[in-house]
Amino acid sequence: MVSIKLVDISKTFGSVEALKDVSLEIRDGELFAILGPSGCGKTTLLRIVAGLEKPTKGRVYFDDIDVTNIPAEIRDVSMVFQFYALYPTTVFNNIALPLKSKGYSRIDIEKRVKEIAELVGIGKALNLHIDKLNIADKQKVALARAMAKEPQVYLFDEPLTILDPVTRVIMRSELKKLQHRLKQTMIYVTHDQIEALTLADRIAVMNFGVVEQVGTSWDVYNLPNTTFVGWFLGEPGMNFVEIAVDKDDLSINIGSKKIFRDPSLGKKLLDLGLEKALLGFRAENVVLVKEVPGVHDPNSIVIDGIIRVIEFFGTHYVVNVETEGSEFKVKLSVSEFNKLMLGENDKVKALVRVDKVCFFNLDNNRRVL
Amino acid sequence: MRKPFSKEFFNKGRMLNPWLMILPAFLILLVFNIFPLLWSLGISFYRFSVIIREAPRYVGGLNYINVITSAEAWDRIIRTGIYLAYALSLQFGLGLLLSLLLFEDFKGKRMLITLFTIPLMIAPVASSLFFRYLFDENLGPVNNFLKSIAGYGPLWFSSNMSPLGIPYALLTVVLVETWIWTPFVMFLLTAGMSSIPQDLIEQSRVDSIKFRHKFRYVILPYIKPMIALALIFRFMDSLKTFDSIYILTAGGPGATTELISVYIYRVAFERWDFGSATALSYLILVIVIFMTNVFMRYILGGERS
Amino acid sequence: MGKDEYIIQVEKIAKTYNGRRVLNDISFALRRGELLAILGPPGSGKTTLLKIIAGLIKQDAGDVIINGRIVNDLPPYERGVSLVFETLALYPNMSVYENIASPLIAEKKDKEYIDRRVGEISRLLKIEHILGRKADKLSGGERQRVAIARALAKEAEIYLLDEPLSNLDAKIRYALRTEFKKLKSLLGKTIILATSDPSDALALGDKVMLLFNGAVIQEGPPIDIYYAPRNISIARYLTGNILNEVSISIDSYGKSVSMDVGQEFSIDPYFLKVLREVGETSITLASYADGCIVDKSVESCSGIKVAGEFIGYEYRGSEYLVYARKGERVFRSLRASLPNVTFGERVEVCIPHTNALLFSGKTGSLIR
Repeated sequence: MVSIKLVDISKTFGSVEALKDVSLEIRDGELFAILGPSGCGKTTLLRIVAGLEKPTKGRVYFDDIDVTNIPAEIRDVSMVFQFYALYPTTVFNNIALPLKSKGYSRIDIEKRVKEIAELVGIGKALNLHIDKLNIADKQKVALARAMAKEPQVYLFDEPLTILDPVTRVIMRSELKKLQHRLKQTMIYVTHDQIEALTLADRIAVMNFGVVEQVGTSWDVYNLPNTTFVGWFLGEPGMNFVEIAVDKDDLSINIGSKKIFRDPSLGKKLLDLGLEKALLGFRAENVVLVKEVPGVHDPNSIVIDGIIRVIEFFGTHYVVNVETEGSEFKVKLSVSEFNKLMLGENDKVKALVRVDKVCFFNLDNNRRVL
Repeated sequence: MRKPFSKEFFNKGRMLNPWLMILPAFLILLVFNIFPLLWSLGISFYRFSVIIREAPRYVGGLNYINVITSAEAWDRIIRTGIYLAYALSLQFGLGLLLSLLLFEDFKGKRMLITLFTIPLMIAPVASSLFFRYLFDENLGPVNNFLKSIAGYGPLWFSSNMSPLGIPYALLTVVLVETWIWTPFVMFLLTAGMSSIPQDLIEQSRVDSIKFRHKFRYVILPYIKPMIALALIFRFMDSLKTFDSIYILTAGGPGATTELISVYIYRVAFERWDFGSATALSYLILVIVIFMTNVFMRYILGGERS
Repeated sequence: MGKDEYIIQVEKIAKTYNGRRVLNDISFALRRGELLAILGPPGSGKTTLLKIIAGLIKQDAGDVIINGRIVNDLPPYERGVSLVFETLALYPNMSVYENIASPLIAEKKDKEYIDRRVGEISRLLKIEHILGRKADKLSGGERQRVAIARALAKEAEIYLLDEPLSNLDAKIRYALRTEFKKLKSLLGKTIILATSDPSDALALGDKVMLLFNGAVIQEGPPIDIYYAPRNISIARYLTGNILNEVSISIDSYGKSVSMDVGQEFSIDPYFLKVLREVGETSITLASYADGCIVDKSVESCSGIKVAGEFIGYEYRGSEYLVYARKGERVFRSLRASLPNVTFGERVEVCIPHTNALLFSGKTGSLIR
């Protein structure tokens, strides 16, 4: 059991900067996901933790021990790769090989391999050659191999991506159960937001070699630190619309349209020195109506718009609404959609509760409210 | 439907072009390979000797029977077998060692690789001449060196038995051939190693498994095809070893280094018995084909189950 | 309705390769400005059909009619169609202009024409101002417009796009789909798009045509396909083979009911009525993830209730997709929160009959 600290890690490959001053703290016993699009540097970061890659700059600590210059062979970590990276031999050998070099006795090895294989659910396959296994079982072997040597840290590099959806769900549950029992530090790299949101205790969202945000699933989804995190998470990603604060009445406007009259928000933005900002809100938090009945709800932003595109996704609709040259998406359940009887080019009003919106600085795309 | 050989068919150029394209290559193959092959196969059934001053005469399988029953021919074949065993094991042992060395990353690796290509770039005749001088019993630096430190230099081109169980002359040929061809084996095995998935190499690093396990479970499975390939190449090539022997020992002393290739040359161009020589060549061809199949099956068989 | 109203008609197209029937009596018709999504698994004949329409492959039987004129014997370049194979991924090291021009350069069009055409299309898509920029220096939205511009660079009445969204990052794909749909109506061009992704077809198509093994098995607006799939294999395909399914059988006396999910179940009399009405001994009941409830216990379920095991979930930020299993059957339920159970625990699965699609047990075709 160990906590991991990465301090100012940079890595360049030739002229490409894969990581820029990444600092992270991974707590003892937590399942920590690193999420980001391909090429964001997440795998490089994992390989640096594993010792397979040396950072150009920065230090890696396991607890308080500086392991930056310690090679992978003696870092005592286990790694599970996307394509399982099994040795072309029997299941037993695969699990046993790392133990043999750790100096376990023959009897101990046999006992331990059996135990772990049983736990992972491949007990019956021990004597089979790995070519005889299906993909899910192969990945289980890789997992068993990782567990057998009782490492300080588990490192996962998109281990479930190649599995079919149902098996993936089941394996995720297994992994979660395992983590609860072992209470081991695990780092899990993935490009799949659902995987990260589902599995992780905390998530680091990365883009272009930079950590954009670290937080729980709820945090990164609902309170994204940057527009990238908001856009990257969710399907569809967060909507961003440019707004301006009216200096006279402190209302909030999109172009010439007032969307929020209450001065509370406008004042806060002006206090921060922002006359303009990006308004961010999630597509599923929008209520669409054709008419706003009676008095305006002081707790909701109201945006007039015209429906441009309607997309049907089976379980839901996504409606694209245009207002003053910008656009946002609204996610509606099929029943809501049918009730409204919406069509393209219809005029609608979009209501978003104030506690469901974020504001971002236009200059650096960071959240301010 | 498009009818074959209709105008449209040719207009589309679907059929004609491919044949036109391969025609030159095919002609070259026909004139320089296929025709001589068939012609020589014909000769092996004729009594065709320049010395006896008679027209080639069809003798059926007589040449083959003569060769098979010839003690001399068998002696050369066995000699060749011994030579092959020594040469191939040395080339493979060293080749593997070097390729494993190059498998690791270290400074100066590229430089080393460049150096290793040198033996392959020099014509075997040239390097043999060079070694002829190096190993010269009286003037050669090798013996000079040995004499200065051990007080004794072996007679490298004699039929004396060396400590390795073969005559010195044959050993010298083996050593020279090994010098020339080890890099070739090394390069093939290195190519095989480059096909090992990066994941697997890294997995073995993280698992810090023992070297012998790494060799057996990570490296060997991926270089097996290359081993087979190298073995087949080297086996066939070694059977044809000629130029180095011709320069180093000319087959001597006596018949100590007279391997099958040299022997066939002698039968053909010193005894002028083309019939027997071609018959022997074809027998060797059969052996080569047979052995190639054995190698293929033995090395690749395990994976094709 | 006169035939001339259709810009393209395809009638009874058939094609056989090496004795294998790859297309079987394919017919459809499209009006100007419509988008037809041909949906089918890889190898179902989508590409062959597009190539036949484009004139790159000749059909064994049937007609392709464009603007009321049979074009069977016309070469590809005289048909007024453009077939785009490429995905909408851009060449990152080329400028926007070069990206858009690349299909025209490949066709060896002259410089003047290319200039004019690129100008036209970029004006339409509002990307004139970025023509000189490198593709990898573009913002997400710009990149999508450029990609679409390139796909539509060749002048044509009808665009045939083969898997344009495949091999793209999920995020880009999502955005590109919307952009594409928006521009389609702007351009007023007719588009036939082949895809193996149901989301693409449902979201983009005015019409969806399902092609399985070279035969059209259903055609219609996306909503019809989704809510009234003609048979169960369509429904399965639309859900990526994770359809919530239960088979109900009734004995020959019409009394005792059994299900393929074991003994522990309850069933709404409605289904028995249906069984008797249609006179089948077994039906398969299916629902999508949003039409299924999975919970620790479902008190009142006016449908079918099955006991299963909670095997896992997906957290999607705003909702949970909860997975339960009973034997071989896997059930998915879209929920706002997680049920209060741990992995492996017993849960109840309810499919209300209002959400259920009923398929014949024998033929798999939709009953209601």
